[in-house]
Amino acid sequence: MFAHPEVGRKARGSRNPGRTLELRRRPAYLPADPMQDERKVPDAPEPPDGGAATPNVAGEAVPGGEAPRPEPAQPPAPPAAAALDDEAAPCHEAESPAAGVAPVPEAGAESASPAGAGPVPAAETESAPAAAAQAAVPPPAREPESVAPPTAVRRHHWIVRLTHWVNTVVLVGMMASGLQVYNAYQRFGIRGTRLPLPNPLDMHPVPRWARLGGWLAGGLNWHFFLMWPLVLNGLVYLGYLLFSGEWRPLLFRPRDVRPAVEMQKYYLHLRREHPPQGKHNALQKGAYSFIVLLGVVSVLSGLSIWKPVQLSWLTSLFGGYELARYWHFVAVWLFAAFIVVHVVLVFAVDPASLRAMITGWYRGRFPSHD
Amino acid sequence: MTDLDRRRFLLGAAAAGASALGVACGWDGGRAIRPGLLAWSGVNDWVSARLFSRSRLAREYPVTRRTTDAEFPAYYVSDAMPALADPSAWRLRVGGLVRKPVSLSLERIAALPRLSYTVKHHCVEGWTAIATWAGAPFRAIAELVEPLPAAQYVMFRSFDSGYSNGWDMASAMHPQTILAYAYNDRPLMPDHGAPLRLYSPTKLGYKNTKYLLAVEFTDTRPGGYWEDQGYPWFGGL
Repeated sequence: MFAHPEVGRKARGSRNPGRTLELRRRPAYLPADPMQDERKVPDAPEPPDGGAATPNVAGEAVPGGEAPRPEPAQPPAPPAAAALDDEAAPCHEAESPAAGVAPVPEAGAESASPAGAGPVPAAETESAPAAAAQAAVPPPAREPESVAPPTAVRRHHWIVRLTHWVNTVVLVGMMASGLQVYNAYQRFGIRGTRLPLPNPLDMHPVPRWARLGGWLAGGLNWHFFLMWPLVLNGLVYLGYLLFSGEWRPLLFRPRDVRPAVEMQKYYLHLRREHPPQGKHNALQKGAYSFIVLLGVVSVLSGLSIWKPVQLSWLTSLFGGYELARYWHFVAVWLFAAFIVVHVVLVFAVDPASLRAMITGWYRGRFPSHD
Repeated sequence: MTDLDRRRFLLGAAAAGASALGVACGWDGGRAIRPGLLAWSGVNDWVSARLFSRSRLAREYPVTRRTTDAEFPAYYVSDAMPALADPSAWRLRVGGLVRKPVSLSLERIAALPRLSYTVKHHCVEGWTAIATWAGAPFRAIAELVEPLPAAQYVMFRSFDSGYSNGWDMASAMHPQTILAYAYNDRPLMPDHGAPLRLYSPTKLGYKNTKYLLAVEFTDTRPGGYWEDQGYPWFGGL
C-alpha cells in the first residue's frame, strides 16, 4: 500500500516562495501530467478537484505542490466551471506530452525534503508537477493522444457500479414513497399515546415534493414494488463483496478507530497531512460500513411493520410495531444525511471517484487499492 | 469519448435525474406505470399469502392496555353513519358456493361458540389501537353452510354504500377470524359496524368489513371497496 503522507496537505499561503518563482519561470503546462504514470503520482492532488466546490479543496495541494498555486488570484475559472474542469482534468490529454520534463523532478525533490519526505519519495517528486499541472490553464491543444490505461486504476467492478446506481434511484424512490405513507399518520405510538422520541415531522405533513405516489395507496404500491429491487440489489452487492473479498477495504474494524480519529483531525484542520490511506480512509470505511448496516436495519424494520403478525419475532426485536415504525423512519433521516455528506465529499474531496463509479476507472488522488 | 462529452453526460444525467424527481413528486405513476404497480401488488399478495400462517395467532394484550373509545377512530364510506331502519329484521345471508345457504339472525350467531380477544388493530395509515372484540369464529359459520371444494374466496358485503372486501379462504378460516358483535365488552356500537362486523387481528383495518349484510363463497377472487382503488388486496399483517 502506498503511503501518501503528503497528499492533500494544506497549502496555506505560500510556504515556498522560492519554488513558486522557479515554477513561474516555466510554462504551466510543462509539468508532467499527473495522470501520465499513475503509479508514480499516487498523491497527485486530483487536479482541479472540485476546487470550486470548496475553497478548502482548492487550497489543498501536495506539500511540494504549493508552487502550482503561486498566483493567489489564480483560481482561474469561475467556480462552477472550475469544478467541472477539475472533474475532467485527470485525463486532460493536452498536458501529457510535457510529462517527465526535466525541471519537474527537480522541483519536486526540492520541496520534498522540507516537507519531511514521506515513504514514497518518488511519488512526492511527481506531486509537484501534478500540482503545477493543476494551475495550468488549458494549454495549447497538443497531441490529443488519449490517456493510456496505465494512467488509471481499475477501481469499481461493474457489479459495484451497477448496484450503486440502481440503489441510488431505488433508495430515493423508497424514501419518497415512504414519506408518502408516513404522511397518512404523522405520529408515533399507539393511539392516545406518543413515543417519547424526537420526530421533526411530528404532526407535520410531508411536503409534496418529497413524496412519491400521490396518495396513500400510490405510496404503498411504489414502496412495496421498490422494496424488491432494493433488497435484491443489496443482496447482489453484498454477495459480490463477500465473494470477491472487496469487503476488506470497506469494513470498518477496531483497528480503524485511530486512523479515523486522525482523519477527522485532518478534516478539522487539526492536522496538516492527509493521513495515509488505501482505497478508502478510515472515515470512509466507517461511513460505508454504517450505511450497509443502516440498509439492513431499514429492510428488517420495514419487514417487521409490513408483517407484524407473521414476523412478530422480528417486530419484537425492534421493540414492537410502533417502535419498529419509528426506527424505519429514523433510517430515512440517516440515509438523507449520508447522501448529503457523501455527495458533498465526492465533489469537494475526490471528484475522480464519481467518474470511477461510472466508468470503473479511477484517476484521482488515492489510487492505492489496499 | 471526449472530456466534453463526459461533462455533458454528467450534466445531462444530473438534469435528467433532477427533472425526473421533480415530475415524479406526488405522482402515483400515471397511466404508464400505475397498472404495473398494481400488477406488482398482486405479486406481493401472493408473497403475503405464502407468508401467512393458518395457525399463528396474533398477540393478545391485557384489557388494561385498551385504547379509549374516544381515541379509537371509526370510519364508514357513506355520507352518514350507516344504520338499519329495522334492526330486528336484519339477517346475515351466507351463500354462494355452499351446500346449505342460510340466513342468520343476530341471536342465532350469538348462540354459536363465542371467541373473545384483546388485540392490536393496525390501520393501513400506520396507526394502531388496542381493543377487545367478541364474536363467532368464521369457521363456525362455514361449518353451518358447508362450502363446496370449489370455494376459494369469501366476499363480505355490507350496507355501507356497497363497502365490501374479498378474502382468501385461508385468512377467513384462521382461528382468530370472527364475526364480531361486541366491542370492549359492549354490544358493537354503530360507528364500529353494528350489528355485526368481520374482524381479524391478522388483517389491516380496511379488510375488516363493518355493517355486514352478506357472506358469499366464490371461486373467483372478489375485489373490494379499497382494494379496487389500489390498496393491497391481501392486506395481511
